[in-house]
Amino acid sequence: MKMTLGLNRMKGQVQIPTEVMIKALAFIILTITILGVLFAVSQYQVTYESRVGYRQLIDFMENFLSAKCVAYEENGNLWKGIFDKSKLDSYSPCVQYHKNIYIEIKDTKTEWKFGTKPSGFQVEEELSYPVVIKYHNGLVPGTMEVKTYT
Amino acid sequence: MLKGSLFTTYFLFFIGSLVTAIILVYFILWGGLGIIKTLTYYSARANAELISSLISASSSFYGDFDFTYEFEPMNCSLEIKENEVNVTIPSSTVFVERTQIVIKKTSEFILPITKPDYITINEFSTECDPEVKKSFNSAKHEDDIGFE
Repeated sequence: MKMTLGLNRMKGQVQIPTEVMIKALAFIILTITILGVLFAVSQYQVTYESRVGYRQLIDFMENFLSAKCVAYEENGNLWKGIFDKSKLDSYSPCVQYHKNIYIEIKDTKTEWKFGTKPSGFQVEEELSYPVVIKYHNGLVPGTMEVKTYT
Repeated sequence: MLKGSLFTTYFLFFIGSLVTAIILVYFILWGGLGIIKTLTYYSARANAELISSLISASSSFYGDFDFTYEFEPMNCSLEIKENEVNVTIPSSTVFVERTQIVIKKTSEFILPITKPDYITINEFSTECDPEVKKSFNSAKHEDDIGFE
């Protein structure tokens, strides 16, 4: 009578995967996974949302910092980021913005507010810059905050 | 020292990995570049934003300022007015270096130009060319900005 274990194997044959075979399988699986992920990613439609309002507020700030109606002028040179106190005291807007805008400039001595804060509107974008105010007897550091409303 | 057959196997793994890595890097770069080009070069909004910001930047500069802007080969129209920029890119198919680029939707974008009141902008309009790159120059002289 012949006894079997249900497997027809030869004596001494070991049916376990070899190290090389495991690595080959891992390599194949990794390649398939990467290609699958790439294919899945390629099915997505990429869109982007840029903050047009924020970019335009930066444009406004850059123009305001060097605007003739507020910036300090000396010997035919205009100093960007340095505001003339006398011009701020008698401010008349020279940089227009297409939305409601509120500007607040303050230093350790004085505070200037331009534009209006519309009630019932939410702040859309907000920016703050360090500035310098030119007084007749020297320079004073300050800040400028600008807000736009929707 | 590995035996000959084992060394060959590992060497083939190494070459296979290297080829796969090179193909992946190529596809990622090629795909990424294509996405960026589609979102910037062929978008009316991106072009309008860039042109508006460049004009605004030159108007904030105290002195003379020049810049050159270049459109990719495509169908488009640009109109610069005193206070706004209008870019229109119609749906079309263009061939750039034997690569077919399909612009699916017509896009139009109008953006205001932020500038001081004393800066004057000369009106300007131009059309793009589907065969070659189209460029225009902007020149700021004192308080006047002109295009050609």
